[in-house]
Amino acid sequence: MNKEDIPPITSDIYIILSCYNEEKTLEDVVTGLVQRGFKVIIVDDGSRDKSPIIARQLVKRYAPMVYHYRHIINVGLGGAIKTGIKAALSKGADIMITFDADGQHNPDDLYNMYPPLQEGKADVVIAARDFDDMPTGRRFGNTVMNYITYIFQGSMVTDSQSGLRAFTNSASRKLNLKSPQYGVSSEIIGEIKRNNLKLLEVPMTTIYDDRTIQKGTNTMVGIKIVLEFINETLKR
Amino acid sequence: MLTYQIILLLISIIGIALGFHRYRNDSFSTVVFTLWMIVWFAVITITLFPQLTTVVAQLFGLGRGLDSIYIISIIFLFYIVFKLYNKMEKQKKRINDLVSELALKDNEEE
Repeated sequence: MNKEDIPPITSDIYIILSCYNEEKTLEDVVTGLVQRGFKVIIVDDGSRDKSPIIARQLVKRYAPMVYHYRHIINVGLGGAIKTGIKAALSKGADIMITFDADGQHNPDDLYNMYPPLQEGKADVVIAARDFDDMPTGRRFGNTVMNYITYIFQGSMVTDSQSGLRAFTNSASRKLNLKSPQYGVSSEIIGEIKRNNLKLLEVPMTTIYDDRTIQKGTNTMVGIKIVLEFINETLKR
Repeated sequence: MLTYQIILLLISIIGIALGFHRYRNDSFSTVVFTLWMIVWFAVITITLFPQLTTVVAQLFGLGRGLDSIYIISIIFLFYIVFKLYNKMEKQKKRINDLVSELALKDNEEE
């Protein structure tokens, strides 16, 4: 993207980077975000590799752009996002964007995400992956997850499991997230609907390599999400 | 007295002793302690007077006394498993909240 095409950042934007054993990619991802002018909140979800050491180095190198929060034990994606939102709110963030630390997301996609929030056109922006670019198994899994999200959360979206989501300060305060793990993605879709938040979906580019394919939502995770939802539904 | 009666009586006495011990250590609440005692005294009563089960069985229209014990035990166990599951979930949530709070607090102090 040309420099003059980059939409100006007129608000306080924090990237919530949930990180679990990402020593290989953490530095590059954080550097890419800081170079683009974003503040980064690293939520280390109980990593057992060198991620916390790298994170502390990054905090020093890029002060005051990078912050590091560490869960002493692994909670899960949902827990990391919750901690990240709380941290961003305590820093007075106007906009917060969840981002994966595994290098799957392209930081240039962020340029599509914050302008609608800055201009007040939406409360939440979710970047949807192009399902045609996915490996067949992945495409099938994500389509199933979209329907599961629709059944349990009552809302049909293009990409319910997207990890790239942007919230305004007031929208993030309204989210009542219970799922400590991967179920959080669908739960956020449900919370957007329950709180009548204005959702905008924008396209994103996905980088698929062998590593990210191994890490993402696989069938077992999918089944766990369904069980979690059934359990939540029964408790209501 | 038959062998199974002696074994069951011994187990019950151990159960009651354990209950008292836990209650004194504060690891049993009064409610749990009471339930625990009711269960073991019921076991002792049934062991000493096995014919009582036939009365219960007839009450529910079952053939044998032993069947009523099986069914009641299974229902009771399911209930306990359900209770334990909910408790575990609640604890998990409490731990998650604690971990999150600790992370936020640590950062403030840095």
